[in-house]
Amino acid sequence: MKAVIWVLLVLSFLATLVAKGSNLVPSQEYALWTTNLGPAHKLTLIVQDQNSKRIPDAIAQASHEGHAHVHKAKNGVITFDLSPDSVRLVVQAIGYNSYRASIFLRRDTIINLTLGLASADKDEIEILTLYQRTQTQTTSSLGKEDLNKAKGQMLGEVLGGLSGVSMFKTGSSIVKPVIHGQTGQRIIIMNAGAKQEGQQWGDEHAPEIDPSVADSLIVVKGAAGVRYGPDAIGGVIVVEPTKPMASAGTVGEATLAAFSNNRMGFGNLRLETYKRIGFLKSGVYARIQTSGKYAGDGQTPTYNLVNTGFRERNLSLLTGIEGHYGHLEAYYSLFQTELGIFAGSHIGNLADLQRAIDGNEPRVKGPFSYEIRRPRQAISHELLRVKYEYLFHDQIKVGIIGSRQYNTRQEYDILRTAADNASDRAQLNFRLTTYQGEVFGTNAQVRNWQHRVGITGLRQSNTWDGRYLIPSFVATGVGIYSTQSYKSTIGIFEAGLRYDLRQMSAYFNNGLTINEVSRQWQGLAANFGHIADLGHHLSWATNLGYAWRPPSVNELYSDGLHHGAAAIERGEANLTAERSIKLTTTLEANLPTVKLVATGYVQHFENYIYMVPKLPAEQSIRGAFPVFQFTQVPALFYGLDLDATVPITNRLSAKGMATLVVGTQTNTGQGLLFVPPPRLRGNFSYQLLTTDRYQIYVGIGGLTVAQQTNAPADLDYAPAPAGYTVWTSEAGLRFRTQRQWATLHLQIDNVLNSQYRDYLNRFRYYTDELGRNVSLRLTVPFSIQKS
Amino acid sequence: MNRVFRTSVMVLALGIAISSCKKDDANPAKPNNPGAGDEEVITTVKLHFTNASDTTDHRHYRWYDADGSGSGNPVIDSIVLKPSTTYNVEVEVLDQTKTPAKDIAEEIKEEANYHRFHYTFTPAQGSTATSVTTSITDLDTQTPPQPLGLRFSAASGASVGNGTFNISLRHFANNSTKTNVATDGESDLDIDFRLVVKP
Repeated sequence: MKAVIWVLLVLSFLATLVAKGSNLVPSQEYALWTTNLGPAHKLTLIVQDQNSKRIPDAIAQASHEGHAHVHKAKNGVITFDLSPDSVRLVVQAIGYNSYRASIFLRRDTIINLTLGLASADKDEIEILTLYQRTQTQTTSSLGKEDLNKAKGQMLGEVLGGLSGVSMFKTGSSIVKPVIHGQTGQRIIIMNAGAKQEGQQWGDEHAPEIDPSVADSLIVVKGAAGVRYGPDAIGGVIVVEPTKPMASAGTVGEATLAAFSNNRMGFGNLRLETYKRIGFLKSGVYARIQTSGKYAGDGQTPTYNLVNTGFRERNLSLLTGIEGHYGHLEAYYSLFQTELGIFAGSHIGNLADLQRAIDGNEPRVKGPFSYEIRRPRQAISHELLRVKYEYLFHDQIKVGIIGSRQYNTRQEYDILRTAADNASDRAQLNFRLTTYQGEVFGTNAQVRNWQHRVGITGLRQSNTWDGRYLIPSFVATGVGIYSTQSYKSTIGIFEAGLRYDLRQMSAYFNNGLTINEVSRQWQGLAANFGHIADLGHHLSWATNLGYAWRPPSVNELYSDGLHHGAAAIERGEANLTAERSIKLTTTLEANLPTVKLVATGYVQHFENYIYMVPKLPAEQSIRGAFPVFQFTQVPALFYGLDLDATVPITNRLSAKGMATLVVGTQTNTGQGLLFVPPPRLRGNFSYQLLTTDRYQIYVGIGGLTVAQQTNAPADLDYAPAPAGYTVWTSEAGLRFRTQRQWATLHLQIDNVLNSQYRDYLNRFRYYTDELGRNVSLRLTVPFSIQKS
Repeated sequence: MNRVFRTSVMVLALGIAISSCKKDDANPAKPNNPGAGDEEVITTVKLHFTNASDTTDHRHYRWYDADGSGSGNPVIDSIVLKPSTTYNVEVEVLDQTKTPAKDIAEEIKEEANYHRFHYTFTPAQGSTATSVTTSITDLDTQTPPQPLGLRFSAASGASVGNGTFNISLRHFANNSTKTNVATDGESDLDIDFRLVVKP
């Protein structure tokens, strides 16, 4: 293990040295960055072969932040109208190698590019690369179309449709994403450029983000500790708010949705405006987005889940100014939710838990209601992020990002005093304030080299009142990183290295004195990757990532009773940092007959932080409770993700997805708890009608989840539930209003109203999953004024 | 009109962003005392036995766990009863993490309609003839009134021996109905005393 790290270190340093030796002054043809601002810019691609003959049937895709436009060539010329932005380009033609590049589009631009013959010797392929951000990490993403269909769902649910991603649930209203078997503290969420800092250590603490703010979500499925810092061991979810529009005017979009199962209503409204200020040579923009949800109890096929309703209110604001002096942007978001926890899950003691598990139906029953009683949670999350970027000589971009987050979480337990409203006080109260800052610099690719360096800082403080679960603490951290990528004839190489220092002071009050316990951790993260274009529309990417994380506050110091789990959880104050190495390899085939992405991975943990039962059960005044203690074990995860898209006819297409992950404690050979069981998903989509004014499609899909047979039975209250299959069907109508597409989308989840339980749901001990859910969504874009 | 609209959108955006930032007023370096904020802690159950035929024969026993659900072990007295004797018992329930100690029995009494005590004696092996029969003597305020259990009578049999005396307190949500079934509702208390019957 150590040897591998040293090799990575040396490679990264070598890369840095070589990079320093290279000439940073660009030749004229590479200089595509200008500070010229304007509304949409014309990007013209002239696609030719090695004999300078235009390739008539080339296809190009230009995407920025998940927004993709695909255009076909006319006589070898492809044109786009795009907002000023960094744009990723992919140009393909049958019989030729594909061309990939990223550019900063700052004015009308013409690019002459040459595609090599697919059969040709690699050395002869000339690829014009302007600014290339390599991606040797495996990623999956959801674009605007996918997100529109998922409006009203929670972030975890939206991501759950991707390969390699599963959902870790607490009942029906709390969903945490799982990437390659890792969840909670091991994956991080980048929300508008800031690492999301809520109380994410808790199993029943869902990410405090409204997915409606984004029109793309990206999941990085590797150990991305270099770019994103400690904790990014299992993966990263990037939530980037919709880019501001860049043409003068005022536009908006409204969405309304209704769901039958929990009788939920959802609404989302976005308004944005852009104005050029002539004398400042600047563009100014602003956006307001707000959404809300109002949901009642969820329903299984046979009974109502009492007290599972929720309310959610969100607001996001974006404003910025961009000119020759740089780009300044401020983003603010507020997420507020109040949610009921299924009443039958609040457990008095171990004997009560056993009775709840043995019963076929929950002991608390009642009719449908929108009312939220104890146990319930009230959460608020606020983010303010300010960013400034400046381009030096059109070549070096320097940026500074600062953010503040304020998270409050209140949990209201069922009280011994039976009258729910006898006391308005929450039993658990946490207030978490986080400041983060980053300064970075990056250059345009010069002589096939591209670099990025950055320094990050963090300060966090947590306070609490009510019942003790985790202590007050102040945490600080600094990090420094550097990444380089080099493009050669045998592919793109990237290497990165990062160093972080973390410090945490926790404060304990024993009634007489206050004790401060300080711990410090440091660690290196390293990354090495390669992506090769194998020709024949095949590419192959490999990434080796080494990442670490300091133990989280609950793993160190938690000491208390979890009513939801009827368990006492004890931290271990002497835990060391968790370190992990992950190898990911992805083969991508982009053939006309099939688009296939296959990813395999192996991840090893030196000291995986894991909760194990400690015998005997502890006698408390309420009765006996099992005790779980955090400890560290060596662990190994490996798995496979498959994605395939097959266009069967012009109208009919099929998609398939398979996810397999195995997690083992290597010193005992025993399986690990809560590892996602194998999943298989497939769906067919058929275009019924496609005209200039209307598009209608229908689809049907199925999801099969196998039983988790590798689960350690003696560590769980109940055996893993049987596998299941659920069906989904949908129909969509797109129609034009004001030259824009509005969509009406009808979806039925769990069409057959199947009764099943899911291994990754913590409430599988007590209840079935939700029954049939019919949802209807209408999304209408509009312009108030367009100049 | 549009200019006014646009300007107002921008001003509003900035205004809300700045004005709504909330702040944590607590100091992390001055944390609370863990017991202080928890209303749910029970540390102590005291049983006051009074001999029904000899009121000077008064005995009391205590089950005490200083840190509630914390990792410390409870200190438990052994109950000693005379054979063939009936005792009137009063139950005291306290939270002694607070100063002064909080009277939980008072709360239970106020919420009598949602609480129910259960008392069970299980003789030890070799003492199978030993018996203690209990009967709850106080009632809640429902119509018809139902047993509560802060007061009860305990009658020992003639046979000496020992066993386990279990006390459990079940509580019921205010939207469910109180029952007399020992497994219904949720556990507030579930504790064992050693009980000895000897002259």
